[in-house]
This record gives sequence, C-alpha cells and structure tokens, in this order.
Amino acid sequence: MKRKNIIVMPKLSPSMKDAVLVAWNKEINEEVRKGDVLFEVETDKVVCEIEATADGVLEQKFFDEGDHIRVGETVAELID
Amino acid sequence: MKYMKVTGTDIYYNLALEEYMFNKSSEESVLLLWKNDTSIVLGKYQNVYEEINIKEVSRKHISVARRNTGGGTVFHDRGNLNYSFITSCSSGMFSDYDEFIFPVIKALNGLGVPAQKRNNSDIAIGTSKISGSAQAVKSHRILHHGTLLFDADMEGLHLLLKPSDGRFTSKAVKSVRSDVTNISDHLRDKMTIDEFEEYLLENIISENDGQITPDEDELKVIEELAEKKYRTWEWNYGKSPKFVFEKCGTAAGKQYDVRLAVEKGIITDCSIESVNGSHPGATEELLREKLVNQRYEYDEIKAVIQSAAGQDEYEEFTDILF
Repeated sequence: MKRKNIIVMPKLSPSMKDAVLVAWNKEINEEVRKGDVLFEVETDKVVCEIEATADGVLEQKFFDEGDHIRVGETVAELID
Repeated sequence: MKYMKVTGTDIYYNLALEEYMFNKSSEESVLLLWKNDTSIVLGKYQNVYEEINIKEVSRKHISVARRNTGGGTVFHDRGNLNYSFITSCSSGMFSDYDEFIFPVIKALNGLGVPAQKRNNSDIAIGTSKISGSAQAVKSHRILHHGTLLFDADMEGLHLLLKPSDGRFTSKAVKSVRSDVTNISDHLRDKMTIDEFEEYLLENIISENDGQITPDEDELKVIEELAEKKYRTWEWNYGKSPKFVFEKCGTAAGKQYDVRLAVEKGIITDCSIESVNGSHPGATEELLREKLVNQRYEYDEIKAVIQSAAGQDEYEEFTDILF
C-alpha cells in the first residue's frame, strides 16, 4: 500500500523562524532515499543541506526556489 | 583544533581547498587563515549581476568567485584576512555565530581595537563593519568563515561593489550594504597583516593541536575541484538565480527601454524599444535576435553589439544592457 511521507521545514537553531528554499536537489518523480539531500535552505547567512527523513518518490514540491518558508510548513511530499 | 597555513592567494584554489577540508570525513576540527588577490566573492545563492559593477570588473579583469556559504558579496584583496573554522556539529542543528566570532572579537580587543558584535554575524567598530561571516552546514559538519578588513583598498571595494542602475527582479539572496573601516586604522600599535595573522593564530583557538598540510594526492584533488567548479563561468556567473533586468538608457542620441530575461547566465528573452514609441528599426530587431541565447557576459555582449550596431553606438548600447 502506498504511503505518503511529508517533509517539513526543520527548526535548525533555537532562534530560527523561517528560511529561504534556495535549491531543490531532486526532481518530481525522482526516487529519494532517507538521508539524500532533498533541498538546501538559507537562513541568517547559513546554507544548510536538508536530508530526506524517509524513502519515497518525490511526488510534490510545495515551494519554488527563492520562496520563504516558515519552520514546520510542509515543503514536499514523498510517496513510498 | 589543528591549523592549516594557506600560502597561495588564488581565490578559486583557496575555495576548493576549503571545500575539500569541509568534505573530509574525519572528525578533525581545523582553522584556516588565508588571503586572496583582489577578487569579489559572492554568497552561494546570489545573482552576480545585481551585486557588482560588471563593467569595471570586466575592464580590470577582477576574479569573481562564488563560495559555498550564504550571505552577501564581499571584496577580497591582500589587505583582507579570511578565517575559516571547520568542525563537527550535532546533526540537524547548526551553531550560533557567537562561538566562532567571540574569540575573534576578544583577540581584536586585545590589540586595543574596540570591536563588538553587530547583528548576528558581523563585527563592527561603532557603526562601521570590519568583518562579516557566513556558514555552510551538511550532516555533522559546519564551515564558518569570515572576512577581516585589515588594510583593504576601500576605493576598490566601493567601486567594484557598486551595482548597475538598472532594475533587477529576482528571488536571489541580496547583499546588505554597510559602512566599512580597516582594522589597521584602530590598532593600539601598528602591525603588518602577517603579524596580525600570527597574533590571531595564537589567540583565537584555545588549543593549537599543530599544523596540517595536504599531501600530494590531496593537492591534485583540490586543484581538480578548482578547475572543474570554482574557476568555471558556469559556477561563478551561470549559477545566479534567474532574473529580469530592465533599464532605460541612451545610445547614439536615442533613448531605449531594455528588458532582458536571464536564466543560468544565458539571455532567454530580450526586448529593446526606443522610448518615443517609433517602430523598432532594423538595428533593434537584429540586436534582439543576436542577443537571445547569448551568455550574459560583458565582453561577449559588447562584441555582439559591435557586429550589429554602428561603430559609434556599440559601447553606449552595451552600457544599457548592464
């Protein structure tokens, strides 16, 4: 049975409230393994690689490169 | 913490060296202190075209480089000292800036420099910035690096970081401009930048575990990384996020409105219209045709325009496009 895995914007420091999604590293329909770099964010001059927290195929991107995203917002959906 | 003495001053090589050390799987912590020949260094996700004086940079053949950390555009020359801390961090969380910049501030205060932290990641004397810093985080590793304006060419800095008077529309990370000053103007006792470097080495790490030097094989890997990534136009210019550029200017006595769409450093769409609304002439049509799919590079664009426009017009026309 297919399972949806939601990837949210993580809180990377105690004071972090949001970040800019600066680059997608995977394309729609691309297979993603847990630990693969899914996207990069920039906040407060830190560029951080965000790893997938589950396996699956990248089904949906909820934001484009350059968009501001709050901590906790859904960024992507993987289907396993 | 170990220390690597960096003797070369090629920005592209030094960025490759820094990335190599950052990616090394060892758990070692290392400090690098390094200087570069005159160059402009952009944050990883900036639009180079909206950050620098493209015409002056091209005319003077200044190196333009893109680093792996965030933040804005900075000026490097032999009067600027860079410091890089590479160390481990907890997975999933990155470090505050304080743990890295406070030792630098304390060391500066020890020289009589009234430096203090400003914003989250800057060091300033009063309202003038002397140091900016930025970070990159992956898995369990963090790279924190910063500039220290010791005795930098301020006139060069202001000229080369003066952007176009055209209008850019993009989602690129923007620089935050600041008043700047040189540390050497605020020292209690005069010293050279090399003496300053030695002083910092002794004072910003609590335990110096000795010097490390890349071996022959590592030097080859670093040089290859510099060639394949840091020296390339595709990385330094082409990685700029897509944008639209608009400007109104005069060439050969006529006013034009120019609009360019650029993606990965290539012009994908172009419109050149004379301001009085008259029908586009043959020159404008020809230019539009020749500019699409061209690299948005100053000398290359100038050559395209020179072949299409009249001899008197091509320099003025080029200036409208940047």
